[in-house]
Amino acid sequence: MSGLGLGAGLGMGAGIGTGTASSGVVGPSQKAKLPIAVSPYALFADSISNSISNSTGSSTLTNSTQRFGASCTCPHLALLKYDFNTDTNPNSDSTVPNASNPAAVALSRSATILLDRYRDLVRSLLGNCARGASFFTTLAVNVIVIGHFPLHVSTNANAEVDSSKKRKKLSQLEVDIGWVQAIPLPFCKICADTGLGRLHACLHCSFVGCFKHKHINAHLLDQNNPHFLAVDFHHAAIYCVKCKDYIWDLDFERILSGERVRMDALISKIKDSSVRRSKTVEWSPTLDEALKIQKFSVPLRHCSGLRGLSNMGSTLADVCYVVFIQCFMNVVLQTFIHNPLLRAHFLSDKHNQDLCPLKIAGKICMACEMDTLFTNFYSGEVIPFSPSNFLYATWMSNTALAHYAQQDAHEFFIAVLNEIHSNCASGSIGGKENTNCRCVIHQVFQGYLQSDVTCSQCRNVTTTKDPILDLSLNIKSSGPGVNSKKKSIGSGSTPNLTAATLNDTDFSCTLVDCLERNFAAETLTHYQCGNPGCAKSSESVKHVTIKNLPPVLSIQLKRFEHSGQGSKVDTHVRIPSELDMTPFTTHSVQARMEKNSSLVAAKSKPGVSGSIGSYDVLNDSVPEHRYSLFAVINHQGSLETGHYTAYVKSRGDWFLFDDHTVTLATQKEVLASKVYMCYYFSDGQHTI
Amino acid sequence: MSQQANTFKSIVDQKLIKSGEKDKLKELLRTRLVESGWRDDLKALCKEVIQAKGIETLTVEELVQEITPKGRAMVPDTVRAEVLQRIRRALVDQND
Repeated sequence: MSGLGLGAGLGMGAGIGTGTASSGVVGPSQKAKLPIAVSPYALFADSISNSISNSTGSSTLTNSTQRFGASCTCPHLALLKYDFNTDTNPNSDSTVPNASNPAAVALSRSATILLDRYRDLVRSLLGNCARGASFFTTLAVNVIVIGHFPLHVSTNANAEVDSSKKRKKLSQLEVDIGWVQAIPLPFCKICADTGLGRLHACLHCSFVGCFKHKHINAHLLDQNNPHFLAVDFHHAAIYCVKCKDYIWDLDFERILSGERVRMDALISKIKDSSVRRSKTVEWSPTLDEALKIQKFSVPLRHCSGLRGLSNMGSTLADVCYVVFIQCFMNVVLQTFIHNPLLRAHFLSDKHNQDLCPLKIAGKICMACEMDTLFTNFYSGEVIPFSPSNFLYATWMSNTALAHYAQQDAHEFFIAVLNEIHSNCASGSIGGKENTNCRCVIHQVFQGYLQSDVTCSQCRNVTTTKDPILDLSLNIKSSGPGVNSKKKSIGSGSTPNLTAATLNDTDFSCTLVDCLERNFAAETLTHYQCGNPGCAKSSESVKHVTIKNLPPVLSIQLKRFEHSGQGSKVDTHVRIPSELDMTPFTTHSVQARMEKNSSLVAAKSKPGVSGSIGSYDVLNDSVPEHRYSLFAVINHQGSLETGHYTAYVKSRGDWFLFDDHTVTLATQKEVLASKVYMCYYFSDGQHTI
Repeated sequence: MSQQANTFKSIVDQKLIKSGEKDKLKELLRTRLVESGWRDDLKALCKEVIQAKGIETLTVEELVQEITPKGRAMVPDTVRAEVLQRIRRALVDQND
């Protein structure tokens, strides 16, 4: 995202740069105005160009790439951008002696045009995606798609005039979804392919072609025109036909991220105008700061942050259950370490143990212990780490945990969360629950459940909101009802589906099944209605839905039944690597109920009124809540004795943490494992 | 014959786009492929190819050419069947 990231090797993938995602709202015109010292990549480019400072500023390809290599990977584009041929930009001659600072060099006019076109394209394709993903309100699509549908995608000039006329009218009307779909879809100009063939739009003209049949390549290689750049219609990546590869350029990247931020803002504004979005503040280092960053930054190491936690059984051998304690603690700590939000919080020095009042006062602070943990994990050491201090702190601060022998990873998880919260929220210790605590734990893990109890007598609805830190789901033995959906998918005219594969899916139940069961409507008997007019105790229906989803969703599957004898549920629960929580949100459930009632009124279709997570019922106007899996905790063995292991995703790869050993794993293994707890983080547009 | 097949394909494509079903299908397919580990396998395959040919010399086109047939073959039959079933149903629903 920033030049610094490039130079120092601190990519966004590390998740350390918390603020970098928002830094991209600089257009080409503004860029030229930036003071020299402010440009973050100037320093790095400086050192590169120093070595060639004696050059005459000739227009050789190598020279230009050396000079601007920090901000652009394509020599051809760099050549065009800074225009060493000096045929269109008379100022570039005077800037050549000054070339040690690329930020000071004005962009050529043709490059500015390209950037503008790119911005238009990005807007239209973001609008397209939004329309396609069907989570937009109709209004939003209109503002974005109609407002900015670029001239060079729409082939018909008259259509453009039409749409601008219509725009005024439509903005006043409640617009029908039909209109939105009437906007022409981009298609290949030669074979009329509409997307399966990976559409690319030429950045120089209005041509749109597919990659599959090489129509875009043919266009770009055409000798009659000097076009060589095209934009992928799905990822907004830029393809250079001369490099035969996708290229990266800082200026274009800034436009893309800027547009994404803008789009997000627009979506959230339309979705819920009462929610205030925090303003993105652009930050670029001053010369002083830049020097410091350059001096102190170290390249990101391989496997940084991956470290085993040693089993302290040897050091505390006299305590018989230490081995068990160790592994349940280790797995939870590993999930903390690799939680992107916690990582960003602690690595950006939000809780400094040298400044912590509790620590200074000599008390035990769990947040400080977390800080120490992160420091140790990213210190570059590879030998397994012993979290003895952390264990000690847990024992000291939570007596219940210290005395309870048969610990459970989930209990430990909750206990640690509570401890960190009470240590962090020094200002508002009094109100532990139901307050808007802004401590890191509540910012990361807290969501709200809404339960609506409808009295069957007077239809009075009692609504309560409960804060949650995680979801605990029951795994009941999968009855016939669970599998009926699967079967209906598989049955019918599908000769390829063998009996064996059908059986396979029958045996396990999925996480979505569990969620559906847990959020299904429940009938309460002997319900005392709160409505004064209806004092009878009667039946009622209880609906639990998710009012607010947390940024990090922690799900526990209740594998241990503590009632009576106590046993472990061994059912295999298949978890998806990407989870859509939309069907369980209050918003979505209400929208669906309205839709269903209107459908019933009209004519009920047999297939439509289906189950809760079905794709058919997804309402168009419901915003999406997509989650990605990043950590899984498994438990092997029985209720009394057992062993915990964790799978954690770190920079795109899965790793298995088994106490002190860390091994590479595949996603297949992760998804096939017997999950006890799993952690998902919310997929914003910019998350890692 | 292939000409006919192509026109038929594009008609179906258009229909699915118009009803908005195509996006849902895409999503479904994406989810299923991720679930089945296809994406994981394909990624590993890409890495292999890149390592074998060298990142300096390999172009995107070559990679696509090499990977596409293998990727197609790797799609699990269950996923194929489910999507096909979906498409059928969507078309039938539309004609009703």
